[in-house]
Amino acid sequence: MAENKDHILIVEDSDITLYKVKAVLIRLGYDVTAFNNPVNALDWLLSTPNQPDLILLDVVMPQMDGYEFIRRVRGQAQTEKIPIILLTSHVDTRDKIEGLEAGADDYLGKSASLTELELRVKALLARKHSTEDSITQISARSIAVFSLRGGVGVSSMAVNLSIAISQLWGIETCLWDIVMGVGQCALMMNLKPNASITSLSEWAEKTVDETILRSMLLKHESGVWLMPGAPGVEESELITAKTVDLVWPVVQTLSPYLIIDAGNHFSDPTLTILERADVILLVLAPELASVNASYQALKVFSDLGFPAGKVIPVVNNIIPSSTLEVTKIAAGLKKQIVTEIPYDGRNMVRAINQGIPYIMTSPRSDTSLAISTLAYRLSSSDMESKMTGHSTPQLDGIRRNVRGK
Amino acid sequence: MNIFVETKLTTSSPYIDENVLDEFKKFMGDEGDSLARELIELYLKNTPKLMSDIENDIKSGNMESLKVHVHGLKGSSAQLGVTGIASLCRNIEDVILEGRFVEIKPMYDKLKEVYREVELNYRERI
Repeated sequence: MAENKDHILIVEDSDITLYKVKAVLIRLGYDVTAFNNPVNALDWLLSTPNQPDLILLDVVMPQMDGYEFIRRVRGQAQTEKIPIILLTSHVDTRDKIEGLEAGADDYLGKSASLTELELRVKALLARKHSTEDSITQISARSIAVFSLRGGVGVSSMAVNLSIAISQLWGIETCLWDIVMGVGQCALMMNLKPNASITSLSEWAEKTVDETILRSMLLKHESGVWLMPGAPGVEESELITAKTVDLVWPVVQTLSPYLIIDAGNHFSDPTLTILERADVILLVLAPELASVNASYQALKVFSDLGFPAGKVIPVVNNIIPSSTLEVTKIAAGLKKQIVTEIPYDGRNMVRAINQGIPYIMTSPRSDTSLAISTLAYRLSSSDMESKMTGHSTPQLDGIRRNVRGK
Repeated sequence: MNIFVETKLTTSSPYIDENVLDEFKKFMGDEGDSLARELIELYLKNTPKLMSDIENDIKSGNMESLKVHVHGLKGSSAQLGVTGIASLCRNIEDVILEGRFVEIKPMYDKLKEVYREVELNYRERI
């Protein structure tokens, strides 16, 4: 009974209701934060990094009614998606409409049985988690590819994913390599940078405009524009969080999708990128050290207040066979694994040596299909409506696969 | 009936639906009895203040404040299954909504009477 550690906030001005509901939820194994004053609850909610997974909220309270509380919660980016159950003693249609208009997700009468309370809480939490874990509907215009452990294929993933999105929809994408001093992406794409973002430090106080950024981009035949990283380790120190702040608003406008090779450690510029990206693909290999590093990364993301749904773990099979099953990795991370990239090490290395991205040298492999399917899941919610009727054999195949699941 | 077994009999009250606290006790397992007792103690501690707030609201004619206090008493009573008080509170809420203010005072008198009986009943248990 006590394995569930979802975090529930109760806001209820009656000490008796608060006491009882809190006791029941703790008994069910939840972490509970309780306030008998909605104003204090709101202050806490808008400042805590420990965001609740669900809110149980009274309607009639003297300092601020439940509807106003919901409107305030829904008005803030960090809290807008938290599911809310209204605890109410009068459940007539008028109240239901007002609550739903304000943004409540469900109702619970105060005289409802404890079993009903348990079931409604469980149902709403399950719905929340399934939404977080499903990436079929994500609108991800900026995708940061990251790992806390090197050598798991972050740069390969960033390069091949950028190409996959370009090819699926016949559009341009922008790939930004921010990894310090290595220039892996340019190498994999056989591109020779002549300028890099490090030169922006000279203009640190100036506005970075599109022309300046475009002058640094390298065009790849696949439809990807590469913004190369620092040419050397020393230059890489010139890239700061401020550089990222200057570049971010402009780089986003260069193409419909921005993919960032965010490397494998937490530096200030990396954290700025990870914070700003719509989605973080957390790449991990099926080995314990990588799973542990991913667990630590997830903990940092949670402490920073990133919504759980923003981080998508991707298991990249960089070794031929692993004894660590994906179900065990998911249990260790306490996160569903939706995407697993099959092993094709030999062809992957050959592609790097040739300077031709893997997805172009082995377009029909299972590995390429998995990357393209991930690309589809990240882009379909926007692109399907924008490109109605767009059809290629590859796209149609992926559509069938994704919808069939 | 075994007369040698000492049993503590609780007088049943028409104003209390015992199923509500029984469900809570069962749900809470081993701690159920003591938690239910704490809940009753909390109710006995908080309700007199709410009753006097309600009385003051009636005297001063502050209907907005009355609504909130009556609503609060209704909610906490429902949590323990004190249906006699919860339904009287609901009636008072209706009367306020419909503007039949003269009917409030006699209903409040009834509320006091019912609470006295509920209080006596609860004091026997803790």
